[in-house]
Amino acid sequence: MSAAQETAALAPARAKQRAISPSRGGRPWTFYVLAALFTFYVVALYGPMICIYILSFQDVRGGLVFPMKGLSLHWFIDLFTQVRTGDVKGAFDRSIKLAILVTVITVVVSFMAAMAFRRRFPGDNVVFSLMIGSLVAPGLVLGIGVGLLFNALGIDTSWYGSALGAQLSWTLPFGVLVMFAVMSRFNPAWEEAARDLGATPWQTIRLVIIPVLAPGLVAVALFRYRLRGRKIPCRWRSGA
Amino acid sequence: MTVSRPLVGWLYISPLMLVLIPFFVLPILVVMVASVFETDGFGGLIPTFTLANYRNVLTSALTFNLYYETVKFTVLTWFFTLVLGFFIAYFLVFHVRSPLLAIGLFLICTVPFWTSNIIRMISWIPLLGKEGLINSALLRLGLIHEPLTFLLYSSFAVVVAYVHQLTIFMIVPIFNSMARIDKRVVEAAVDAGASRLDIMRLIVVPLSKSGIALGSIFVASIVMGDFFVTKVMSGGSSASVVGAFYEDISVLQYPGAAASAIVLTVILLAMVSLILRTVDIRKEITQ
Repeated sequence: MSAAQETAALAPARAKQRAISPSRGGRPWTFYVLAALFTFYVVALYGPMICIYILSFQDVRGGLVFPMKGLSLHWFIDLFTQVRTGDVKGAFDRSIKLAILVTVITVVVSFMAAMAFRRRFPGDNVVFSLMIGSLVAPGLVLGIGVGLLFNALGIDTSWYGSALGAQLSWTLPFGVLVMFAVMSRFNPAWEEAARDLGATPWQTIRLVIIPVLAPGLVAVALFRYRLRGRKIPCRWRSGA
Repeated sequence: MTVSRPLVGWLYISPLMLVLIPFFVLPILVVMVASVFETDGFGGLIPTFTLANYRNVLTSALTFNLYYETVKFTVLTWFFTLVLGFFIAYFLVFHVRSPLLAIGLFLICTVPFWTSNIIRMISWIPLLGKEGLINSALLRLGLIHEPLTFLLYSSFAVVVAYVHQLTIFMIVPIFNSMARIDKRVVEAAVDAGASRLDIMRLIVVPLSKSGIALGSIFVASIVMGDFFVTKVMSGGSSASVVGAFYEDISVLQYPGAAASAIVLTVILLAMVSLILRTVDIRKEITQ
């Protein structure tokens, strides 16, 4: 790991400021063991995906095994010309819109909810339990419920209605929990100081809380976007 | 501005409730109602109260086997993601000296999770298959004489795929709580003569408990609620609880599926409340 050597070279200069005891002075043996573990993890993380990307450049005879059969862009052309795979462009379009909507709503709503949970309010435990319940309930269970419910009410399931809601029912609790972690680093004294200096509640949020928490909010937004993977077959009813 | 405190709390929380009520509370209630109805066998529900669905679910040997399989995968995945996630977070927080490098390495861990779960799962097939990279490499090295068949379409493959997908859910919360440990506490322990094991046992683990709890909740609830990975990576030889009621739905057996869905949800909630009993996650923020 050349990156680690680089830091090792930089280390003596900064050793004074940073007194992290397990790694003060020379590297302990655990460093090498854990560095090896980390490297192994990253290789295992990326290796299979890189294989798949390489395999995608095969020609018509290609399958999911090495060695590669030919080299072509056949499958990419196939993908975008909609002969066999259906409307990829439309699906891509819908996914992007859905992802952006989910991200924006999640950041705003989970920020507000986490603000509420900073203080106790009547019924807060009920809300908290509902949130945890929504987080752990299997997607398919809620999928059945949403399907039956919408069917009974005579509402059609659609990507911007039920699919969005189904995503949010998972991303919101997740977002609130991450927000808890983000907000636990916020010192309430800053908020009190703003109030003492005559800031209105809205000014406190806009000028103090949001700027301080901005990096955390970005983190939540990024995290959301990659968690869009709760696959609820919302369409199984209309398709059946 | 003279708005009472409880009202402010409820104003902040109302958007969350606007999502939770129609997409969690009502669907769960509908599933509960459906689970005590009879079916006409063609997807219709007959509104007569019956406990037969629960009796069927709770007395069949199949249910027991399904839960055994699902719990087995959950425990294995939980164990491996916890060990990996804990030590990777520990490495990043305590061993990497430059904060910038730590964040860079952290991002390297998270980037693959921007892609689809399905792609990440499928991508193991060319490696683990009978003619896959691992088998052909081992054959060429002469370590084995015929391809290992346990690699793909087996419990092994299922656990590999789950660990690959879910370790990040352990790394992120544990990294977060470890990053908050005051380094001076560790310093003081070293000065007081604590060994590395003591530091780990008495400082690092207790202080990252909330991260471990959160990660465990994420991993356990995802594995228990998933059927796709088990189905694909075991090649159909292992079933899962959710997979079974997916089958029920496709043959229009809604009440049966609903009953087993309720049973699963109850088990999951019991598990999570046990985890939450050991750690008060809300204390993190309310202080």
